[in-house]
Amino acid sequence: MPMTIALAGNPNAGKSTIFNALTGSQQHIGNYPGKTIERKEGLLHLPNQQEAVVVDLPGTYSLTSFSAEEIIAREFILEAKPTAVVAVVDAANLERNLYLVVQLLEIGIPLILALNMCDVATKRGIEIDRSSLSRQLGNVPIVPLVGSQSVGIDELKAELQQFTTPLEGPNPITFPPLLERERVALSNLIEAEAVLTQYPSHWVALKLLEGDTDLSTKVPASIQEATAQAIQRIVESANEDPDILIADSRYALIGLWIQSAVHRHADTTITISDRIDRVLTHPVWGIPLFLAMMWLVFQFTANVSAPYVDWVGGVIEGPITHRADALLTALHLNQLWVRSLVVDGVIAGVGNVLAFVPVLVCLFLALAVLEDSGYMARAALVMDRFMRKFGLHGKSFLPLVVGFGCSVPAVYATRTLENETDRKITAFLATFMSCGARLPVYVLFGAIFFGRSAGNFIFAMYFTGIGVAVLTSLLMTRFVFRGKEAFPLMLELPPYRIPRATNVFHEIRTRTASFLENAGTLILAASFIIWLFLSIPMRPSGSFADVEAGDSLYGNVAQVMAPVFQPAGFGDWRASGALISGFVAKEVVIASLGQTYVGGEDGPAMTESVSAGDDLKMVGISLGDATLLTLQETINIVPRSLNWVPNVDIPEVALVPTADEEEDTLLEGALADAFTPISALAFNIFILLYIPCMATVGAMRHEFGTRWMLAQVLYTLVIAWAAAVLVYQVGSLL
Amino acid sequence: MPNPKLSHCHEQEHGCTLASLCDGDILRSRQHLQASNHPSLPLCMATAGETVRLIRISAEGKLRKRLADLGISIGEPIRIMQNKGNGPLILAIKNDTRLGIGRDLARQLWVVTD
Repeated sequence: MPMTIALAGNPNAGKSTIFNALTGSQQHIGNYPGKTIERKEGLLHLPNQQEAVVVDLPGTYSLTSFSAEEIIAREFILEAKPTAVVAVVDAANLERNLYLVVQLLEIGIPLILALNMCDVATKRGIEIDRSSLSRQLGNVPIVPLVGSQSVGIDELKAELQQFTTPLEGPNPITFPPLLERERVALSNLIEAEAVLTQYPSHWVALKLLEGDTDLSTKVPASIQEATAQAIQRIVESANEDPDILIADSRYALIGLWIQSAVHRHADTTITISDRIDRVLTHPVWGIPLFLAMMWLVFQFTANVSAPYVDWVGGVIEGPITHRADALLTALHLNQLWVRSLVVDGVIAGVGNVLAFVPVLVCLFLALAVLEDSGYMARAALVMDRFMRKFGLHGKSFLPLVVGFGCSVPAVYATRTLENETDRKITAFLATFMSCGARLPVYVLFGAIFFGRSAGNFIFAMYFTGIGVAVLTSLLMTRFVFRGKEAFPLMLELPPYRIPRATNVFHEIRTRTASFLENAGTLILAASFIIWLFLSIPMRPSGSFADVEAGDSLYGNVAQVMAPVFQPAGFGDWRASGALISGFVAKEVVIASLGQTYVGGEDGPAMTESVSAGDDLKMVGISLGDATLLTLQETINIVPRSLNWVPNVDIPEVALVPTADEEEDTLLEGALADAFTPISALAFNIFILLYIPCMATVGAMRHEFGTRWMLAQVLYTLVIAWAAAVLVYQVGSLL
Repeated sequence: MPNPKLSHCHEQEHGCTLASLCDGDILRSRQHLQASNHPSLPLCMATAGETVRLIRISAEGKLRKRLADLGISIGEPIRIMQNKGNGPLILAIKNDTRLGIGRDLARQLWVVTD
C-alpha cells in the first residue's frame, strides 16, 4: 500500500507551494463528497522510487468543529490515518502557527514540522533553535524550507522516506492540573465505556471539555452528563469557560517553547507590508484603489480573453469543421444527418465548452495573482462594511464584478470566499450581473425600440440585474440561510509577496482541467440535446437533421411553451424558441431570432473544400491576430480607464484593423413588427434574469452540486417570468 | 519583550525536559490584569501605535473561539497598526501576525494600556 501524507497548516503558511513542489504536475483537484470544499491530491515520488499520495488538507487555524474545513481536516487525520502529517508553519509567524501544531500533537499523530519561509524569518532577525524546538515538541523532525525557491524540498522528501512511526512516548502537550485532572478522568470514563474507539480517548475528552458540538452528539448520555459536571467544576474554580482556558493554555505552552527556542535579533515592529497597508487599506484611498484593481481584473477577463475566444470559435468553425468534412467524405459518410451530427452536434458542442477556456485562464491568472500577492485579504477588509449591508462578505465583491464579463468565471471566483454559505449566495447572485453575452441582445432591441435612449435602456437592464441581486441576497439571508449569523470581520493579513510563477501556472492548469472534466460534460450534453431537438422532424415533409426550425421538435416545444409567455407580451413561439436556444448561450438568442423571423440558411450548407495547408495557415495567422489583438486590448486598458476622467481623451492603440460589424436590418424590421416597446422590455428582462446559460449551470453543479444548481434554475425561471409579466402588465396600463 | 504571564512551574515531569504548565500560568495574568488600576476601554478607542493588553472579551462562544484561533487571547499584548474613522482596525499580535478586524468586533474587546 502506498504511503499517504497529509499536509496541514494555516491558510497563509505556504502549503500549496510545498504541495506543488512535492507533487509537481501530478495533481488532481476535486471536492470532498457533498461539500464545496476543495480536495487537492497529488503523487510524490520519493528518492527510493517509492510513491506516496499527498493530500493537501484545507487550510485551517484550528481543529475544532466550527467550520466544515476544520471537520474535514481532522476527520481525514483521524480516519484515513495518514502515514505522516506534515505541518507546514510560517517561520516568520511562528507563534500563531504553532497553535495548530499543538492541536495536531494533542491527537498524538506522527508529525513532521515543515518550517517554511525561513528566508523571511532570517531577514526579520528571527533565529529559531530547531533542535530545542524539536525536543520541546516531543522529538518531532523539523525541516527548514523556503518553499518559494524549492529550498529544503529534497530534505523533506528524504525525511519522509526514512520516516517511521515514533515509539509511544509521553505526549508533549499537558494542560494545567485544573484541566488535566478532568481530562484524565473523562478519558478513563470514555475508555471504560468503549465509546468512539476509533479516536484516541484523551483527545475526545479534551474536545468534550472544549464543548465540541460534533463529538458531544456522538457520545452517550452518561458521558455527556459527566462532561457537563466536569465543565461546571472548572468554571467554579477558575471563573472561566474551559474552552477559553484550553486556548490560553495552548498559547501559554507555545510561549514557553518560543522563549527557549526563538531569539530575535532585530526589532521588526513596522514591516514593508505595514507600510504598503497604510496606503492600500487606507479608509479613504483604500476604496478607489480597490475599485481600480477590480476594473483591471474585469478588463483583463472580459477584453483580453475575447480575441482568443473568437480564435477558438474560428478554428472550430473553420479548419476543424473542414477536416471533419474531408474525413466524412473520405469515409463515404457524407449523408446530411451524419454531417449535421458531427458538425452541429459534436464539434459545436465541444466548441461551446472550449470557448470558455481563454476566459477561465485569464480569470484564474488574475485570481492567483491577487491571492498569492496577499491583496485579496485587503480587498475583503476594504469592502466588508459596504457588502455587509446586503448580507454579503467583503470578498463577494470580486465574483460579482467578474459576473459582468461572464458568469462562468464568476462562479469559480467565489472560491476565494472561505465560508460555504457566503460562497453559495455569491455565486447565485453573480449570475444576475449582466454578462457580456446578454449585451448584444440589449443592443439589438435598444436600437430598434428605444432609438436615442438605447443607452438608458441598456443601463436600466444592468441596474435591474443588480437590483434583483440585492433583493435576492436580502431574501436569502433572511429566509433560506436564517441560521447564518452575521459573523464580524476578522481575518489575517498575510505579508505582501511577489506571486510565484510556478504557483500561478499550477493554479491555472489544474483549475482549467477541472472545469473541462466536470462542467464540460454537462455543457456537451446540453448542446447535444438542443441539436437533437432541432433535428427531429415533427412533420412528414422533413427528414432527420433536415427540417425547418418551426417543424422540428424544437419548434413544437416552443409552441407548447409560448402561451406561458402570453401575459408577458411575447407569446410568439419564435420568441419562446429563442429563449430555449438562449440556454446554450445568451448571444445565441439573436441568431435564433434571425433564423425564425427572417429565415436562416437552408440546413447546414456544405463548405467548399479547403486544403489542409490553408487551414493550418489560417489557424496560425488567426492565432497571431488574436495575440496582437490581446496586446492591443491590454495596452488600451490604460487609455480607456483614463478617458473616464473628464476632458481626457487619449487615443487607443489599433494594432489590428477593426472589422466592420454587418448590420442585420432584415431582422430589425421583423422584430419591430413582432414586438412593442413594452413587450421588448419584458422580453429583455426575461433574458436578463432567466436561467444563466448551460455553461454557468454546469459550473454551478461542479461547484455546489446538483441541488443548488436546480434551485437556481427554478428560482431564476420564476423570478424572470414574474418580472417580465409585471413589467408588461404595468407597462400596458400606463 | 518577555511575557510576564509565562513561567516554568514544574519542568521536570516524567523525567524529561518537556515544558508543562501550572494553573497559575493561565490564571495569574487574568487576575493580575483585572485587578490593575488602569481603567479598561474598548479596543476601538485605542489609538494607532499604542500597545494594549486584552483583559476581557464580551463576545460569546464561536466568536471568542475564532479570536483565539487567530491569536487573540486574554493577556495578549496587542499593537494597534491602524484605527481610522469608521473603518476596520489592523492589529499586530505575537509580533508577527497582522489581523484585520471590524469596528463592531473591536467594541467587544476590552483592553488596558500598558
